[in-house]
Amino acid sequence: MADPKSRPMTTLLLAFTLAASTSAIAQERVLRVISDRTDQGVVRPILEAFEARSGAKVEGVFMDQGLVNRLESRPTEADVVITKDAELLDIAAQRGLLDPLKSAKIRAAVPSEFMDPADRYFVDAYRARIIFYSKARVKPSDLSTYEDLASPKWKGRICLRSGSHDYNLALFGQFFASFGEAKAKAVISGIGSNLARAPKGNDREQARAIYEGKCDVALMNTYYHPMMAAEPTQKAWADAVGVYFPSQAGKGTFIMRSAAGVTKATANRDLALALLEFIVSKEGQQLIVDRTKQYSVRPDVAVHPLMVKLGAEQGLVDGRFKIDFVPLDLMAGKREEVIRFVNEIRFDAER
Amino acid sequence: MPGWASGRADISAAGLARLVFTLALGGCALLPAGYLLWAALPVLFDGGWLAHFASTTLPHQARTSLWVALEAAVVAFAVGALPAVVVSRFDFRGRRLVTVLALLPLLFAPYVTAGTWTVMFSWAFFEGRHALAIQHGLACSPYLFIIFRVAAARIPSAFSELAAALGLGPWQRLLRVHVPTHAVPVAAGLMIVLAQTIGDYAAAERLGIDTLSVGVHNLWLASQSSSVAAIVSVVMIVPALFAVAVAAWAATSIISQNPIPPAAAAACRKPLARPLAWGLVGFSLLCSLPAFWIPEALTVRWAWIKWDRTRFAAIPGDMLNAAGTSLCTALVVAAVCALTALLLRSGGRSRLAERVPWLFLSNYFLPSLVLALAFVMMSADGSLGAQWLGSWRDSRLLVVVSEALRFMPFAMLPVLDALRRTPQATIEIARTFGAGPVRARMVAFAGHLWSALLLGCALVFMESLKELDMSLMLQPFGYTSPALKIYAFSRHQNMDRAAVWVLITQVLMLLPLLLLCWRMNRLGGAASERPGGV
Repeated sequence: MADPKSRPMTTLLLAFTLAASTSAIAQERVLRVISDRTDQGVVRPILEAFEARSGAKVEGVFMDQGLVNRLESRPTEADVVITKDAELLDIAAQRGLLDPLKSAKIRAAVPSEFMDPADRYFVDAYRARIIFYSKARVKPSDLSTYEDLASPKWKGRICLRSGSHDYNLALFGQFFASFGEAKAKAVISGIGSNLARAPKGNDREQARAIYEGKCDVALMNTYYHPMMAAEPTQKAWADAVGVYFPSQAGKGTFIMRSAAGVTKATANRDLALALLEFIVSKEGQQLIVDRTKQYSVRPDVAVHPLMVKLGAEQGLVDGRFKIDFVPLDLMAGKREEVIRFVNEIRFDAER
Repeated sequence: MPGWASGRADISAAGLARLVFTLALGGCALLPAGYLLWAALPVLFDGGWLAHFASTTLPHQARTSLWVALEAAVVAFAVGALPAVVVSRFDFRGRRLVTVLALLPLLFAPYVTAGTWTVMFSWAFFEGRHALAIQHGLACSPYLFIIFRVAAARIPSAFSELAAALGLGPWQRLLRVHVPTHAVPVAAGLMIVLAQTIGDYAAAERLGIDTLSVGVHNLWLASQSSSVAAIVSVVMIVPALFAVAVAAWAATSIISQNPIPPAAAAACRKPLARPLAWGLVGFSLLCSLPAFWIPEALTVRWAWIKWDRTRFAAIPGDMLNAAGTSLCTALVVAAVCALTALLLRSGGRSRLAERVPWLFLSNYFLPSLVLALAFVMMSADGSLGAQWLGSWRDSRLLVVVSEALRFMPFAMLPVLDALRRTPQATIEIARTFGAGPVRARMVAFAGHLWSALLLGCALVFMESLKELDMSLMLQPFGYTSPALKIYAFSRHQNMDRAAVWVLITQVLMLLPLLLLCWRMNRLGGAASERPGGV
């Protein structure tokens, strides 16, 4: 039983502890992040590392559907926007939803081609959209360029996710920007008519289809190969496919970019910028490379060892490859053009 | 003539209150669809999105959706309605088993079943439109079982026997007895199947079936434009409103021309021949394999394998979050239904009041992501919605309200049905004995309305637990739930890692499921306790 004499002391101690904790709670700042990544496992370690160094708490909304619409509806509810598709951030920027960064640290760390010319967002990492092929049924020498996938020799041999998905819209948009409208349309139509089945599922679903013999080649993002290899249930899919970086002898391979920016919310602007500066720091970039298996925008951050192996057969050194770089501002307006075109040719229709 | 206008001479304050409440119900029901239409109208032809949609993918997608919906309806009626009628009309060994088997698919959200099917079966059939139809049919079959079980339990078989004794042939009995007596359950069941199938996006997208809902989503998400979403949603909203209005009108009109005595006696069950009974039990077992047992076995196996990778610390918080949201949703629905019971006239004396709440079904036709988008738009900064809600907008309130609107028909239609079966005279007699208006209704409805409400709310609770899209779009900061976790894992083909969260959702659904089973088995009195019954 407690000594009655000690009660005032205990009460005082409790009051002090309560006051201290209340004060700590009151002082803890909350940074709000909105992202189209649903798998928090990818972003969370970066946010946790930032929490540890800043003392702030980071709360998130993770939604991969309708992100821009929510941002448009509530422009200041979040402080930071992180997307896996820079095009979405470009749309947000065009709709006036992002604030200029004005950060010397970000400018210094991020190469200019990965910065929005108006300084409203930056690309924090990228991956390539490349050809995955069946090791059993396709020789690497059969592969060459994106345009080649439209040739009749691939009839009924290609698998792809929906033509209306962000990844393919971004890829086809780059076709438009790089090839010109007429050629881009011919290539997209050609790929569409070579599909082995109706576009469905996500990227990993295409690797599984190759493994099951439903098709021979697919267009997928690079990081899926190591990610599948790390999952026991998907390892067989990864083992069944090889990867090929198209057009290395020509203009290069197209990339998908993830990006980050700050909203017009002002209360936590300093914290928001601090998070973005952490993301572009060497430590932050290393975390991104380790967690997402993407390529860093910083030249001084090496390609992940698992990614170095990809394309080695093609003669790529250190995992570096030639990029057909299409600036995002050149993609403006292409997205709508692509949407209309994939609908016109009924790219997603059953076959 | 609408009840509110039936006695023009005595349009009282109560009558006015009823009219206002009925119109408010209709307004609430149509709020999201109405808002989308209002948002679409000024820009309907801007950029020609509607014309583009109509001239490219729309005709094909609409046709596909319709065929899938009709196939799903056939499956749902066969798997849900048929056993329900047999269980109601006959006594046989295995009645309870059939009931439990019919309700078990409620434990799975359609997108989870789709995920397990795609992982389990790589046979082309399971990736086709027939598989999608079967999947939706199986997912909707529990609702049809409940609807028909409740309806058939209170329709006296004496009607049909009387008609036969009067010399009416089978077709005449079908048209003059069975169709009128089953008009409401058929209309309600058909609407639920059509709405779920046409509004579904997740399962169709997963299987690569180019449905209307997929087309609407593709155009919206690709353009990232609320206006485009509103414009292309028009092609779903207008036919949905028309279909719901016709169903409500037809169902209630048929009843009014062929009145069923209120609070009709329970069906008198007859013994069922043993081969037929075994046939039905076997059929139910067979149907429950793809609808429940195979996905469940896979889920348990995956959960076991991934046990060590589960973050147990997150489980209590997520369970509380999900249970809290679903409970709030069920309570909102219960409050609206209770108000309906207390304010509207019973005994089928108010056609308008009987029909207006059907409009809630139009929200079920809308793809749930689009419904959620309507709420995002309605609560945009500077809007009236945002001003009214204040800081509540940034809570889970919007998730609760949108889910309540979507799932309202599950409780509202049974309540309306029970209301219709309560003679107004019972309430009036209770009033003459000195009971107040509320007390009189509580007494008059005690026997059946509250149990209908409880069943409806149990269904709403379960549906809310499984619901994903509204949580995804309207989630407040820091919000997590099992449905969001399942989605996050299944997006990356990690159904195995989603398994633990599926099981957690099922644990939360056990109590309402047991309640449903218990209630279904009690329907129709104690006939099952007779010798020979099980």
